[in-house]
Amino acid sequence: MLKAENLQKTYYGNGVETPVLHDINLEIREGEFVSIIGPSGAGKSTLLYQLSLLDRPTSGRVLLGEEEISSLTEAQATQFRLVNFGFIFQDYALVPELTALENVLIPSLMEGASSGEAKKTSLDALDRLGIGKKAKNLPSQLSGGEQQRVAIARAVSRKPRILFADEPTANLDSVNSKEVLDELEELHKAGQTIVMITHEKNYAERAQRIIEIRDGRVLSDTGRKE
Amino acid sequence: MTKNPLHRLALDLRVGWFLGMRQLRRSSRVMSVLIVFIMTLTFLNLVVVTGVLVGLPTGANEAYRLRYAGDVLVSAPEDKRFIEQSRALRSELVSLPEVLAISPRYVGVARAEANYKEVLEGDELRDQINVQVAGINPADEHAVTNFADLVIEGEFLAPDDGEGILISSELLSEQTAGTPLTDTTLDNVTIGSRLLVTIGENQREFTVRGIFHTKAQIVNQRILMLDSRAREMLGRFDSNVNEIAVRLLPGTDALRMKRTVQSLNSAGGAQVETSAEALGPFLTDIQQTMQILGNGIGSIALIVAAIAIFIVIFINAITRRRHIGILKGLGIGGFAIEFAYMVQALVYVLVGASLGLLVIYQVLVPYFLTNPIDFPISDGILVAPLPETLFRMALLIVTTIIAGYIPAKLIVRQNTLDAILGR
Repeated sequence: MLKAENLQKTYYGNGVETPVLHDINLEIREGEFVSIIGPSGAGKSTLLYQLSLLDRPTSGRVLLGEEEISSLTEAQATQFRLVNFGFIFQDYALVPELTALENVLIPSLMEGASSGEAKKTSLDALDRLGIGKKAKNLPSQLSGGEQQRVAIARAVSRKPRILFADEPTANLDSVNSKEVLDELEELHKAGQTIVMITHEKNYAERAQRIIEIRDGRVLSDTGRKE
Repeated sequence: MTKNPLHRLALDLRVGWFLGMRQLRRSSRVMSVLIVFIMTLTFLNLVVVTGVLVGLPTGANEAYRLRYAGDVLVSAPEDKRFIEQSRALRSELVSLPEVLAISPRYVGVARAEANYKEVLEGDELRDQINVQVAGINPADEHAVTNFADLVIEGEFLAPDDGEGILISSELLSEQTAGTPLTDTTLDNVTIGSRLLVTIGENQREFTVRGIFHTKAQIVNQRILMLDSRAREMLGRFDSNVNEIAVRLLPGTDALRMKRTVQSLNSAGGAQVETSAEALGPFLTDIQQTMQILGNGIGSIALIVAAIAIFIVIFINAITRRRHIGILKGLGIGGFAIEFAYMVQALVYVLVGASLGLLVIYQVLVPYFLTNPIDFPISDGILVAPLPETLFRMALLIVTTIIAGYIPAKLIVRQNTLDAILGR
């Protein structure tokens, strides 16, 4: 489904060349729950950014199905992400001026859903995550765990083909972390393809497959758990 | 994946509006009020400065029309001393349905002397001035120029007061406070003073019944007396007058009526002009100069407003740089985000300019009409014709939207990932 071929990423700054990813080849199949783990600076977030079109590889290709998506223009990539990807960031990344409901429904509006339809889908997603009653709250009126659940609702309300989660539990306590991981597992069981970055091995083990990255290279790719 | 560009644009506008309105609703009230205040002041600057500058010559034009020429002025052609067939012309004029009133005037040059009864000593000069004399029918003159209202001391001429005259305050030393418009003025002339008026070979004593003042300078150089007395002194026994001021019914097109008057049988070779034509290009030129000056000052205000909005939107966008990156990351189009900032600028300028409109038409225009600025040549009013004001409003709106768009564009075009990671 999602394929990285000979992926390389090098950052250039102040005349210094910093290679981060070296010749990464991997494939994520539809319906998989994949954890990418590794120590800080290993290149796991950089890999997620390349796979999710938030950044461009220095060389190599990213394909979704047969389509090479790493060569899309900025505007095409933005629209591609809207239609195909969902994102959960470690610091929730909610827009502070928008209520929980508005944060969730804005990608639906951008996709062309009617206001009523977008509102219904978004409220359903919030209800499913147990925060429907706080739909009108601003992010500043929600706890960290609640904000992350809003972020999950935003990511999954439109049923993306792939859900990218960048250290979704990094800012949460153990109780909230468990709840978020439980939710991701539920989504996976429902058929959602998930790519999650984490540096916590026990959290990574909740996934079906673990890819370990070190120094910008795939160190191991452990297969299915079940 | 790629949708119809128009459909895409519609979605961008929709989401931009959604984001913009919510950002406005949840932004700092104090900041919003301040920006709206700046917009209101800018709009007032755009309209009022030019309006007041143009209002000065416009006030002079209006004084000329209201206090002297009427809407249409019929006068003797340059090669004639008076209007031939005046009596017939007067009859034809009053029969026109658009004519509200007419004031025929006999006009001549006279010498007015104040101390003619005193015996002069040594090199003492006679207290005398050369003036224009206008012979009027008081009722007709008042119907055209509301002249009785211009009398600042004493009283207006009675219809049978052959011994009385009205004199302009500009011709009296005590009234001009050291700034006479004429080279010479008469001293110690008050209500009841006697003046010796000489026209050609004819001399007659008159009593000053009233002192008048108007911003129509041509009238300020005049002494007014009854038409019967002026006719007698001018030796005009054929009833032919020098000028006829015509007041039209409100809303009547003066230019059209000028052509109508020209076509009258008795108009003959008389010179027929609208008030503006009779006044000549002098004040119109000043008006145009003031307009250019006002536009220049207004342009500076426009630039200041654009910079203010640029700074506000830039700060607004740069402090939300990360959220802009996140929105782009989620797939919200760049133009939708830019449009959100344009919406904010639009709302600020619409509210600000609308308040400005209210202030102009509900406060300033009525105020200046009842309390005109007292300039020597005119009662300065605020000239703010609605179409011109709306054009300036549109100019401010367009400038503000562009000033809101540019900083938003600068921030939005930055790399999405850099924005998200804050680097």
